[in-house]
Order: sequence, then C-alpha cells, then structure tokens
Amino acid sequence: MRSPPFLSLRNIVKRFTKVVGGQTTLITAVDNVNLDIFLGQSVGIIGESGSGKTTLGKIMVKLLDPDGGTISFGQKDITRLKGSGLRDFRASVQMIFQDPYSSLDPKMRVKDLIADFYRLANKKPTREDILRQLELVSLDQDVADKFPHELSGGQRQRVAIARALSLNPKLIVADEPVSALDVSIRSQILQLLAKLQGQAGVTYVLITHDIATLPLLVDYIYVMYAGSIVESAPTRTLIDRPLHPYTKALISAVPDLDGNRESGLPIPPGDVEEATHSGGCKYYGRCPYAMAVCRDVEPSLRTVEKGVMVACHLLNR
Amino acid sequence: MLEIRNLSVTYPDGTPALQNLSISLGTREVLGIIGESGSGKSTLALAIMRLLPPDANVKGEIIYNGKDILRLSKSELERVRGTEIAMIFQDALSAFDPLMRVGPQIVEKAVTNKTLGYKEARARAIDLMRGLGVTNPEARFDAYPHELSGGLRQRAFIAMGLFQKPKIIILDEPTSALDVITQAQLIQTIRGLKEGGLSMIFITHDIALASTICDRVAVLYAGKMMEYGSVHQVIHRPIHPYTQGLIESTPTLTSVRRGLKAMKGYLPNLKSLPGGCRFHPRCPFATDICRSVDPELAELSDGRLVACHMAADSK
Amino acid sequence: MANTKLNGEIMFGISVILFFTITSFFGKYFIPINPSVQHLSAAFQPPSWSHPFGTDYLGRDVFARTLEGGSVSIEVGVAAGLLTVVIGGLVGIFSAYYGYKVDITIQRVVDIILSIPLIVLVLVLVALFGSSIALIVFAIGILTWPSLARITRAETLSLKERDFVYAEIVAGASGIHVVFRHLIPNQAKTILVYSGLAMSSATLIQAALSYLGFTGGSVSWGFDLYMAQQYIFNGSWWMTFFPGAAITLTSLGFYMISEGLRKMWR
Repeated sequence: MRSPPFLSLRNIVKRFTKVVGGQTTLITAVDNVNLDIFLGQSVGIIGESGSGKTTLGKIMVKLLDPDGGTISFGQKDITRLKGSGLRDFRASVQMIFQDPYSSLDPKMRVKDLIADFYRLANKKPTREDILRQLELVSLDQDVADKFPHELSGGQRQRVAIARALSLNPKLIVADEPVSALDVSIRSQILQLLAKLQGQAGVTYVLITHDIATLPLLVDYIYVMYAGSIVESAPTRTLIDRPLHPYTKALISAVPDLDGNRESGLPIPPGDVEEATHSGGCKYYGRCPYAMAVCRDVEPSLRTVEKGVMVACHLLNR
Repeated sequence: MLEIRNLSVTYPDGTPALQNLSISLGTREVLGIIGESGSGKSTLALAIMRLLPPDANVKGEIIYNGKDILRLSKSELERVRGTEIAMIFQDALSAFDPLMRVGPQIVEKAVTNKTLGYKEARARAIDLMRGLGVTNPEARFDAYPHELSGGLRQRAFIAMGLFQKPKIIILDEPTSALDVITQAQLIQTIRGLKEGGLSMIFITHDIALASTICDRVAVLYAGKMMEYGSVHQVIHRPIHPYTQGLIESTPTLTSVRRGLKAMKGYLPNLKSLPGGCRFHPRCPFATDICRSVDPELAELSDGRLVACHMAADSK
Repeated sequence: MANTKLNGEIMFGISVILFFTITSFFGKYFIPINPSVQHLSAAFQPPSWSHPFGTDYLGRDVFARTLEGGSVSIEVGVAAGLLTVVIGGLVGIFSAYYGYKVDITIQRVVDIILSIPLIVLVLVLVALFGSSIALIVFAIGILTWPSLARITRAETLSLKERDFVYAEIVAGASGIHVVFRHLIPNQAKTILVYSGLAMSSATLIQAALSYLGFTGGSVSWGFDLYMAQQYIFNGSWWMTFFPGAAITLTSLGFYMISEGLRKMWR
C-alpha cells in the first residue's frame, strides 16, 4: 500500500477582507481545500490569478495561518504550531518565490545568503560548502562574492534554489519560479529543477498559471478555480483528457506552436474577478454546459476513476 | 502602411538599444515583433510613437503616409499620434489616471479636439467597448480604473486606443499581465479588429502567442533583427539558431513529446555586446567567422531575411 | 549608486563636532583657565587677549565656560541621540514585525509618552534622583524616540512583506534573527541619517533644559545664556553671543552630518 502522506491539508479555508472604494468585502481565497503530498510524487497546482493558489502555497509552508482546517506533517497536526515546534517542519519544507530579486536580501552577498540558511540549521558552512551549493545550480564560483543586484534574474533564481537546498529539504514549494524570467532562461531553470529532483531527491509542489511548465516536473496536477479544487488527475491524463469545463477551457486557451490549437471550444466570457458565481458551482456564469443544478448546488469533488477527481455535475449523472 | 528604414536608437548613456532595423507593415496585417528583455522591442514601439527621451539618438526613417514620422513637426505629430497610430502597452492600470473614471479618459482626446460632442462620444465609446467584449459597457464607462478587472481594463485601454479610429495600432505585450483565458479572449478580439481592417504591430516575448495571431514576424535579439518572414517560415520552419532556440525552449503542452531544450548562456549586456555575432556565445553552431564578424541580414530563397553566417550558406 | 565622496555638509558637520569635542574634552589641558573661578572685579570685560571671549557677570572667563559647556552638550547630544535611536529603532521594528497585539500595545505606549511633558518628567526625576547629566540624557531619550519608531515601523511594515523575509521565516529564522540580520541592515541608512537629527535635537533640548535651570550640575551653555540675557542692556554682547553661537553650531553640526549622509545616500 501507499506510505502515509508527507504533508496533508484538510478542509483548508482562508478568507481575506478586501476594501475597494468604500466597500469592504470578504473574499474566500481558499475554500475547503484537501490536498495530500507524497514524497517522490511532485505535484502541480494550476490556477489563474484569483484562484487562491498562491495563498494555498503560503498556507502549505506555514507562512499564513488558515482560518479553518488542519495541516498534518507526517502524523503530527501542525496547524496551530509556531516557533520551535516547527523546527523539523521548517527544515523539511522550503519555498521558492516568483520574484528573484525580492527573495534575496539586497544587502547580503551570495555567499552570506547561503551561509545564513546553513546557520539557521545550526551548521557552520565552509567556503567549500558554499561553492558546492553554487555548483549544484550551475553557477560560477565568482558569483559567491556578488550582491543580488549584480546578478541577472536567472542567476538570482539559481541562488534562491541553491539557498533553499542548503537545508536539505524534502519538499520545495515553488510559486511561479520562472514567470518573472526571460523566455530563454525559463527552460534553463526548469531543467535545473528537473535535474535536482533526481540529484537532491526533492519533491516539488509547483504553483503556476502556465500549465505548459508542469509536464516536465510533476506527476500529478490540481486545478484550482476561485479557491476550490475543481479537478485533479495525473499530469498526462489531465492534459490529454481534461474533464472539468474550466480545465478544458484552460488547456485549449494555451497557445501552441504546432499550428493553432483551435479545438473549437468556446472561450468562456468574463474572468474570475467579475464572474464568480456564488450559491452553486463557482464556474456557473462562464460554463457552456451549465445546467439548473449548477446554479444552486456546489458540486463536490468526486473520484471518477483511479487518481482522477472532478467537481462537476456533468459527471455526477 | 508603415515602413521603417534603418532605424537605430542609442540611449544617452550609450546603450545601443536598436541597430539598423528595417521592417514594413502592410494593410490588414499583423506584424509580430518577438524578443526578450533588451531585444529593443519596446524601444521600437516608443520610437514609432516618438516617445523616446529627447536626448536619445535616433537615426533612420519611419515612413507613414509618405512622411517620415521622426521628422514631423509637433503639431503634425499630435495629429498622427492617437488618431492615426495608437499604442497599447502592458500595464493598463498605469495607463489610466486613477482619479478619473475610465469613460471620460477614453473619449478625452476627441472631445477636447472638439471632433465630437460628449454625448456622441460616450455612445461611441460604449459601442466600441461592447464590440470588444466588455460586458455591461454602460456601467464600465463610469467605472474607475481600479474597479475593473485586468481583462476589462485592458479592453478599456484598447477602446481608448481605437476610439479615434486609427489605421495602425501598436500592442506592446498586451496580454502579459493577463491569465490564459483572458488572453485567449483578447486574441479573439484582436483577430476581429484585423478582420475589420486594422493593421497591427504585436510585440511579445511569447513566440507561441505570436504564432496564433501574426502574419509575419521579426525576431529581435539584443537590438538587432535576427530573422524576418512569415509565421509559417519563421515559426514553423525557423532557420536562425536563436529562433530555433526560442522555439525549442518554450514550454508548450506538446513540448514534453518534443523535448524541452534549454538555450545555454545569458542575455548579453547591451553595453558590452560580444564581438562578431551577438548571439554566438549561446549558439550551438558558432564558428570562427561568427565570433569575429557581425552577420548582415541576407535574403533567402523563400524571401525571408536572416542574419546568420550559417544560414547564408544554406541558401 | 551612492556618491561616496564626502560632500560639503558632512565635512562641515564633522569639522564642527570634532572641533567642539576636542576643545571641550581636551581644551582644558592646553588652556588652563578655570571656568568657575569668579573675579568679581573683572566682571563684564569684553573679549581681550587674556579673556578671548570676555568675562561674565561673575568675572568668570566666558571662553573657558564655553569650552566646558561643550562637554556637556556633546555628551548629552550624543548619548541622548543614541538612546533615542536604539529605543526608537528597535521598538518601531519589533512593533511592525510582530504586529497585531504587540503593535497596538506599543501604539498606546507611544500615545502615553507623547503626552508627557519634558519639564514635568525632568522635575519628577530630579525630585526622585537628584540632578545629573545621566538623568537629562535619560529624560530626553525616553521622550523623543517615538518619532524614529514611527519611521522604522513604516519601513518595516513594507520590508516584512518582501519575499526575502518570507524566505527567512520558511527557513525557520526567529523574529530576532530576521530583525537583527535583515530588517535592521536594510534600514541602516535611514536610521543613521536619523541619528544625526536625533543628536541635533537632543543638543537643543539639553540647551533648553539648562536654560530653564536643569543643568545637571555642570556648566552649560543654556544656563549661561539665561543668565546673560539680563545683561544685554549693558552692552556685554559676548556673554550671550558665544554660548548662543556654540549651541547653534553644535546642533547645526549634527544636523549637517545627517543632511550630508542623506544626500550621499539618496
């Protein structure tokens, strides 16, 4: 049978208050999400802005506390833990951020940035240790003495990765790791991440809006829409046979190089911010297959075949 | 419609942003400018609109309607900008005055020029927005920029650009800040505009996106054009190693089968370009001549232009 | 980047402060005039070779008193300025970093502090502990830190949302680590610039306090100025001029260092 999940999220809920003009609205960024991460099985979370994926990522690394639900690390409930109780967790789970510049302290040189993390793990790094980390991410030795502003975006992101790895984490949550980089650099970083998967034995949770970057790195994908998971399936299955209408729209909207991927699928109107329906299925206002039940009842996530879950009334019949 | 001849732009600090660029835009055509940061693509857009800093060194000609835009007088330029050639760029939020409602900003220029009365202007703007796919355009007209979502704002921005019925519209990364589905919506809208007779220059870093909407494309690298031809030629059968590299390293849903290949090296610093062909440090085919001589754009038998020593040989 | 050539403001400021520091603390070894000796018969003498700054109403040498007063003003200026910076800096940063209850509590404390008048505090402290320089330093430092706290709090509020702070938290860094190794270094310039301002105003406040009589038991420019005021009419301009100029220059000196740093770093 399967080993227990490394990290488990159950019924996670997170709300924010948003003030626009004079009006205050309560937004449910993450709405009752369940997620299991198993070591060795990298996972992708795909969603657009407003889907809640970044918030979910932060909750996963305990940068944010959920308003409801539980987080289990191994067998331990760490939802309410703080400070020293999280030491093991912090050593095992790291995060890589979207903006390579802002994720490095601009006042510190590369070697100090990496050494800083070593010290947080109560280890004293030697110069060799630092250089080894740099080599791991294919950076030259002379980068060690540079400041972040002297590096290019791609180099900075490599430093961020080298730094995260110095703690020997088992899981790395990467939030849009290549979106802020130039196109020709993106694939370099993606390939680096793929190489490290094998070399350093890390499992990834890759959060992104660019579904095309996922097949290279993850075995399983969760699709998020307006705070909920609407579909989850193994990577190839999701891409070749998407079931949820949103997933289908998403996949057909991705521009492809091999001629137009005009699958004839209608592009859903509006966008998440203005068209999220409440009281039933959140995708109701944009779904070409919407039925009466979709308007009033929110579909729950059901397993339709091995490893594939969908929240859609169409498949519940 | 628009012909750019030997355009070179050097910024006051000496950075050579564009070198000797020559392209042309036909009627009802979407010309794609593909490039990454430092390629010069935005500089090109700013040069056409004459929005570069006054102390930038600009050489060459940009011919529109028989006249060189770079040499137009201030009043002629005012007339051309916005009314004949319009520009949309990436960040719609900063394009709008946050303290004014969106509608008045869309019609502003026409109303101040007294070409239209406010009532008619408003009606036209609302029609325009509806045609662009804006839901509930009457309400949107009176909305403030921050009240609109990204996609709506971008459409309002396009409405502002189209309002005076320009002949040419330059779109600089119009969809970069938007999600995939909104992007697809916008592309559909842009396709409609093309069918309606508009000529467009579509600037992007996303080569796959360019392939869905452009007729011809120019690939820029570090200020110089590397390849120029139809989408069918350049994107489906690329010859320049940079174009090939871009395509091979762009992750798409089919790229797993194709195999994702990363381009080695970094984008060069414009102030210290490598000698010879500026792409040679990253080129898998570089030879001695590439390291010493900067290749000229040469026409190949299929009509496209390529700046590559290796390509010239395979003519 | 930063214009690291020392600009005019810094040169001026450093020269002035250095001048006063050296003359105040070491002048007495070279110019053996006792500032407290009274020669009533030699009172109200204008500046001359034997008394470069003249004598005051008690026949005391104004020059010597000016030098002596400097040691107090510099001491208090620097010490109170540092106290303000340390307290204000740390309180502002921790308040913003920990947020919520901590932040709100500290805001209340700040409100209370802002409502305490300096004179009242000094009076109470003098009544309890007797007059001394340390007390003056303490009183000034304790009441002026809120303005720096406001600055560092605002700066920290924006810094703490930066990804590199998040990265530290995810790596298991404690609040102390984040504050001392990351938040403070990233605000160092702001804090340093402010310290010049703090010292400048501390100098002025000390002068004002001694003017009102709270000299802390030492010779002080402010008090001399107060006494000299009464004698303006008999033409003894040197009694007010030199202490007054000294106060102005010292305060200006600290301020110029601050301005110079600010210009250098912006």
